[in-house]
Amino acid sequence: MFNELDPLLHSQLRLAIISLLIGLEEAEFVYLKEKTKASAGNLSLQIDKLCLAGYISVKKGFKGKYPVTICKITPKGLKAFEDYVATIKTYIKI
Amino acid sequence: MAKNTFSTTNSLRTIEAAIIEAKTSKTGASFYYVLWGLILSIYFIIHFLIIINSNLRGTIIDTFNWVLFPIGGFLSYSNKSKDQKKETNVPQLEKVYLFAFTGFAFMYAILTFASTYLSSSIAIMLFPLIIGSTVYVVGGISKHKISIFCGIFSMLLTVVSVLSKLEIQFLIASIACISSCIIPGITMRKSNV
Repeated sequence: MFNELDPLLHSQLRLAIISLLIGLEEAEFVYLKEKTKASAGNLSLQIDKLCLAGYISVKKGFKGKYPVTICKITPKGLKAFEDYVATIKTYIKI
Repeated sequence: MAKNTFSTTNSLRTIEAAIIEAKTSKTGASFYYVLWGLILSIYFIIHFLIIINSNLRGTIIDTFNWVLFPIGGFLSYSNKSKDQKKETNVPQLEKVYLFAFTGFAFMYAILTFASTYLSSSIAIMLFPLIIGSTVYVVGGISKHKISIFCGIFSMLLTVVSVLSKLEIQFLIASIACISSCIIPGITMRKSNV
């Protein structure tokens, strides 16, 4: 009757990260940290989990002299998000 | 927050809040709209004045009006570099602007070639149509109503342009730039576009 919610997305911070990236082409680590109000360590951990699952891609580079981490949602992540929202809707309807 | 207290309602609230946050990201397009609107408008006004006043032919204004374009290119590049240092995200609308306006540039380049080949003023005659349609489409996608209305106005100016002499076509092209670029560009500053 109820499909299982994706445990990777059923976490406030990871869901917030994916939801932010849905609406953007790409976002830097500092932007995600500012919007989620998470600590750098925790955010980094959750980004790694999402990256390992293939839901987001992470690119590391430099902006001038400063290192920068850029995150972007992948097609797999987009599909996972859509499935998650579809599953949530079934919960809400009942 | 502990995993077992994260309810479906909280999930939806998180998604909604995040999407609203992402939507508030600005593209910085307003600067480019105003800059290139001014450059093109001035360029067309100069050509209008040169045609109606033959004394201006061969003057510095006639010979060097093309300088506006490299100036615009330099200002665009330096603003882009400045923006890239500050910006921490790339809104999805950036791709829309990129494809829309490079498409416009291709169209105008091909029309200019056609004008030369056919010895007609088709490029300047249809300029309001192509700039208006580009801004109209982008305005529709970005939900910027002023761009939609200004784009339509610019497209309608083409009707007048087709029935006018060459010098008036340049004047109409200049008005189209004001309508399609400068006005939407100024109003964009206040909106999330």
